[in-house]
Amino acid sequence: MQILVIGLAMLTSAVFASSVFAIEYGGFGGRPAYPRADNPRTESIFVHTLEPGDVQEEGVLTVNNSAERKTMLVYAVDSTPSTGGAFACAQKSETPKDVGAWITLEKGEVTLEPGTNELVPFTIRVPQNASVGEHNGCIVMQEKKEPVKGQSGASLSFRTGLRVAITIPGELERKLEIVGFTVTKKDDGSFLLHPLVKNLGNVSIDADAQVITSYFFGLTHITHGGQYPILRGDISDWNFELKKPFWGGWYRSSFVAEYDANPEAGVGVKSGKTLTRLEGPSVWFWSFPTPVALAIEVIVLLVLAFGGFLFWLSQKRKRWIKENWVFYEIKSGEDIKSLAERFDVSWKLLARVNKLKPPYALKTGQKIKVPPTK
Amino acid sequence: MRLKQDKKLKFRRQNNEQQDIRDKQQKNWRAVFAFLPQKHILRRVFIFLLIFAWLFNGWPQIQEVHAATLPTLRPTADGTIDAEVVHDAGTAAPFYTHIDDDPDSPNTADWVANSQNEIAASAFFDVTDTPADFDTMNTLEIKIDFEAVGFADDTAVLYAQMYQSDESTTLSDEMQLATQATATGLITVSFTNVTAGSKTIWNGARIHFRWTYTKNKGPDNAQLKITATELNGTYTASAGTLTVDIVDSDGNPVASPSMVMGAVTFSFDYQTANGTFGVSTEKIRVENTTANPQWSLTIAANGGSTAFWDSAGTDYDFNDPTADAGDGGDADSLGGQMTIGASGGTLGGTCSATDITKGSSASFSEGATDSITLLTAGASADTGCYWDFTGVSVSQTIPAEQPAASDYSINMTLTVTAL
Repeated sequence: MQILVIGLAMLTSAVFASSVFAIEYGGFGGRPAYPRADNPRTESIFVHTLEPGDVQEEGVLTVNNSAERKTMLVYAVDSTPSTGGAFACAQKSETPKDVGAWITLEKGEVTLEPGTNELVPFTIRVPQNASVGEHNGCIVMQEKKEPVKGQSGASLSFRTGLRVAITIPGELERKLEIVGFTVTKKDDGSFLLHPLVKNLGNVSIDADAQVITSYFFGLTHITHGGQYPILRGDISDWNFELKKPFWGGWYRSSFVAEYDANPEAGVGVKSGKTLTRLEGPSVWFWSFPTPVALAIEVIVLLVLAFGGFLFWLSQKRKRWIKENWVFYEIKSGEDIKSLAERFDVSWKLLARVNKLKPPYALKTGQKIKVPPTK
Repeated sequence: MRLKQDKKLKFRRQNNEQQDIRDKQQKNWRAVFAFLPQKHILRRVFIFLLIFAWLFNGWPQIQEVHAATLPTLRPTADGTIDAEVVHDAGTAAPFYTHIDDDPDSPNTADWVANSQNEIAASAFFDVTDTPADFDTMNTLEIKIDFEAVGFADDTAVLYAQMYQSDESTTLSDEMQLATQATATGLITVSFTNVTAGSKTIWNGARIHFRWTYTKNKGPDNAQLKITATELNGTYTASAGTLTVDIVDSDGNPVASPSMVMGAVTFSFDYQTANGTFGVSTEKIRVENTTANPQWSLTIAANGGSTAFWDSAGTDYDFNDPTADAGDGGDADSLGGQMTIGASGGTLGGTCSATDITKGSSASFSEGATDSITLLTAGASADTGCYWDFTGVSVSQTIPAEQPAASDYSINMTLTVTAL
């Protein structure tokens, strides 16, 4: 009965888990204070299209969902490319020159009681000489901590960044190019699928990057990928892990990227028009079967081979019967059983070769095929 | 001997009683589930359903839902107010200032009411905007301080209803607050059929007061007065935060986390110290309770491209690309390079690995690679849960003849960025 109750509880929570929206967890961070209804991405990051010289008032809502009082540093920095073309926020120690320099926060430090939040207003002032295209920076929230003195090794601190994407209108180019795709076998037998895409334009592009791995006969084995932002001028690459295929054999992985090349598209904004599809190279690779699969495959092969051998044997016998059996005229008193004994063959074979139906009655003078007499 | 036997008897009696209780409980359960098939069939059905649920929903996750208490909302501006509404000083605007006080300690000389000409009256008042983290309205109640004056045989009714800022889209049912017979003092009524809405919908919401009046025989010149008004309720706060931390095996934040590197001894040749970033007692935890699934996790030196392994004595570099920990690949005069390999790491936690990609192995190189990507989450990644990342390989080349010291240190920052 306990199993029943536990099972019922698990089942209920499993089925209805998706209808429950997790709202509050421990942690500190922030989010844009003024999201726009026309762009859902503005609930998480700051997205603006601003002319040179424009001034935009904004705000970051700093949140302390932890159980402790927290003092947070809030500051603006430029974005910096990270490996794999990922977006990263520059360090506080680095003097901002781009979006980080355009932002002025009303305060650089907030102290929040548990479960509280505070709005930190800031102003974005776009300089007159800002170039056309997308510029990125970050609003960063970092817990204020005194450095630990005398600690050796690599000490760590943590921060949360919110991307600030400012697009300066003009001739915006949205263009991607696939620059490579490799498949590397790892020591544990799994594979690393590694596509690379370059953004040739002057704005970031949300691309749907997919690696489709198929069996040698064309059926799809697995698809890896998702939608990722590719920053202007950057080469983005991803490492998709393909677990060692169970059955083994030859596989083919193909890379496909789809993106919205239409000028109406933007960060979090879709044009609604046809997407541009780029098809990259396909890579064939061999994967040795897992031991269980190998055992199954050997058994299946043996069964098939044995079946083939039996089939070959039966065909050979049929051919021999066709070529060597002779006609014999039934005499009075003979039946299929006596004929089978006489010619040293099974009565079933006699019936089959002569297509006799039950009750296998033979008429005197009827001609049937029988094995040749020795 | 006798005592032992008594104890045995007592023990048996207790056992029998417990067995009786268990039997009764089982009988009860059997009665409840009498309409269901046999137990073994039930078990199979449940196992099947569990597998089905797991396949289509994933294993259940414990999730918290937080209904926050709404800060008190009060009238902040006049909306449309018809000519039949008056306040204690006449009919000149603003009206809302006469009823924006606390109903628990009202100024009763300061009120808004129907005029005394015995016809219907109506007034809209703009109320305070919702809090910054407002997502949807759960419950809402109105509290007023009230007074009925001058009634003899006429009757009147006071209603309240919530509207959007356009004063035509309703946000609740209309509720009766009071009549001429209602006693003076506090009245609290919960609105029914409250629209969950959104921050956009509830910001600028209006409270609508409506008076009806029925004369009986001669006019009474009576009034239903509102002397103070406020709205209270509960709301669902909008999504949480995106954070990164180092936690121990129990999930508690580690006070002074570090990347542990293997110790090396003095050598006349260059050498490599190896380590693992993210171990069972110091797991990298990324928690995303926002609605946005896209983020990146990167690591960089606090000091940027000019940082180095610092000690009281001789320092060495973390981002010089010169081979064999040599110097010359960057602006400083230090050799040594740190390499971080996230691709061999292991993902755990309550979130699935769907649409999470690990960064390639990369070395810091001044001005060229100042930040190394550990993880990237795409648009299909999970939200409302966390990932634990362990097993990231770290290696550091150390120049030949680097003096031995126990105080080499460098400050690194893990940044999780919403994209």
